[in-house]
Amino acid sequence: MTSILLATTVLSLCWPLLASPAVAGEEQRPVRAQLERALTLLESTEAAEQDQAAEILRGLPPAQVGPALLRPLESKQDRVRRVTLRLLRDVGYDKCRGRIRDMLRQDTDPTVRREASHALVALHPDGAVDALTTAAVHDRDVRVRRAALLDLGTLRTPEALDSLIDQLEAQLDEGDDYLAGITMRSLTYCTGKTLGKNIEGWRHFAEEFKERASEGEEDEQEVD
Amino acid sequence: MTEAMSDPLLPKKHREAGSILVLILILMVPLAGLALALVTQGSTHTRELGANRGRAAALVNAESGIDHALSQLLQDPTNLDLIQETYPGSANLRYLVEFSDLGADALDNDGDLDVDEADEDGFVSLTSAGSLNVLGYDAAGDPISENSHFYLKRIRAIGKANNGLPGFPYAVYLGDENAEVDFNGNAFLIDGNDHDADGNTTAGAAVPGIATVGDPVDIEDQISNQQSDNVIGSGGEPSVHNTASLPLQDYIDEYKASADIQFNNPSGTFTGSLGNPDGPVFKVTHCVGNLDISGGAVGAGLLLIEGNLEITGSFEYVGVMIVTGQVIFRGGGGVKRVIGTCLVGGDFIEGAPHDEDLELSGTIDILYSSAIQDDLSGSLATFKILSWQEL
Repeated sequence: MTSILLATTVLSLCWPLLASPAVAGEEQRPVRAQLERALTLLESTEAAEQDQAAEILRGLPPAQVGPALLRPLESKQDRVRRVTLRLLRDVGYDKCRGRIRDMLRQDTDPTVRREASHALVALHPDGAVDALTTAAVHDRDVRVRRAALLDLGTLRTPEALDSLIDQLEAQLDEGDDYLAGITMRSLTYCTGKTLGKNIEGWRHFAEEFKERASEGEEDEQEVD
Repeated sequence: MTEAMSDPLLPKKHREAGSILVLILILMVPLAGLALALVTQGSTHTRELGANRGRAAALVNAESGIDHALSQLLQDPTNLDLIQETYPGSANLRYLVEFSDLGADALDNDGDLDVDEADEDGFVSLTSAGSLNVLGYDAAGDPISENSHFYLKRIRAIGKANNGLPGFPYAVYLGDENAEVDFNGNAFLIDGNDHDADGNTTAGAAVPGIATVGDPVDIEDQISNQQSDNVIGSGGEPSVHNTASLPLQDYIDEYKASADIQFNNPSGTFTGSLGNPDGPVFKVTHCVGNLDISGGAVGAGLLLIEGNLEITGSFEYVGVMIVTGQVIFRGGGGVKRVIGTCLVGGDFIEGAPHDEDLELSGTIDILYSSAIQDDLSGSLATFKILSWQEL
């Protein structure tokens, strides 16, 4: 009787371990097959097939989709790289910060650089200010500069705020009304304030913002 | 009498009696003069008082004429018909108002050397002549006799007609040539077919689902093949067309003074009512800064946002939304529906927070409605007096 009970207990404890590879294998196979099929479609030259691939990939487990997207990220097709960056953002895969930074800086297609800016701020907001500032100031395509400016606003950090104010001042000096308007909108998004072209007002607010941020950090430390 | 007065034998009292009479006579002359002067002055004062009262009545009457004209223009800003009115209940008061359309009078009214140019459009000069005639007016409305009892005052006012909002023939307008749109999933609809206030399709002409000031291809490129039939209207799918730029900030500046609901850099989330979609009952809402709406908010009328608009949860709005920044619809919380049009200065975004201008996520319908736009425009038509001068 004791041996039967012991055997039953051991069997019940070990069953998940014994059974899981087989069950997992059943689940893995269709996922892997779908993943392969989707990646093949993604590399297609047809936009419709690329979109179909994106739909499939969004429905698969993010943990498996993320690493698989590193390959199409190097595609020669601009649209594939762009769709892939969007997919990375959608699945929340954050293990390719360096590559996304490189794409923001160097990719030949401005719509890809624009998407890289969005991906960077969504996946790697810490330390994104420098890369976004560089893109906002130096990129040769206004769409990328615009995207980087607006992305800086979504960070809502003192560093991003300083960067935006500096850029607004430079844009006003240069008479670049379009980008100045974008920067003002980004500052409003960042702060909830509508100070427009009032650089001194923005700087004053930034100082207060920093003080509040540092006080908040001190409070958190005290609580810890 | 002369003898008695001159007789030295008479007592002194009797000798001086005549001299008092003479003195009285002498004094009466200036007194009579003084009295005459006083009577004349009193009469003049009375006449002056009457004249002042007549002029005041004429001025009030001229002002009544301006008020009458204002009422006529508020009913129909294009009605510049002459007004000739005898003051009710009094036959000797009358006003007459003449209009002049400064945008079509072949004159350089603003002194910029251009005649009837665009910035003179909508300006109207109103000249009101208010009069009081003691003898009244004849059947033709002319004073019976323009004698000293006729008083006339004239006022000239300059006003500006506002014909309400122009038509916006699209469901969504993107005012930035580099605008981005971000559509997530397929549970959204941007529909340029004409709709009534309840969201039912009507027989009106279809317009573009999305109108952009940039290259439509840039927008189409951001819409996947699976989402093409979620942006419908005139032309093929997706219904995206190019359009001329709209002065969104000018619209906001024009109507923000009429705001029924005002937000200044709100820090919280709004969950109430911005008008009533049933009816609908329109309200003008103006927000400086970003506005976050959540919790089943509803509204109708004109929504003016100088910043970004972010909507979470269910939302129903009937009217025109003008947003200088981004419009962000976040997923979850039921259906979001806008009937009228949505004018976006920035991007249109649905779902996760990033920087596209129009972002759509969840079940969202943005339906074009010419009827709603017309109703709203009619309710916003105004005429404002800008200056006032007595001639």
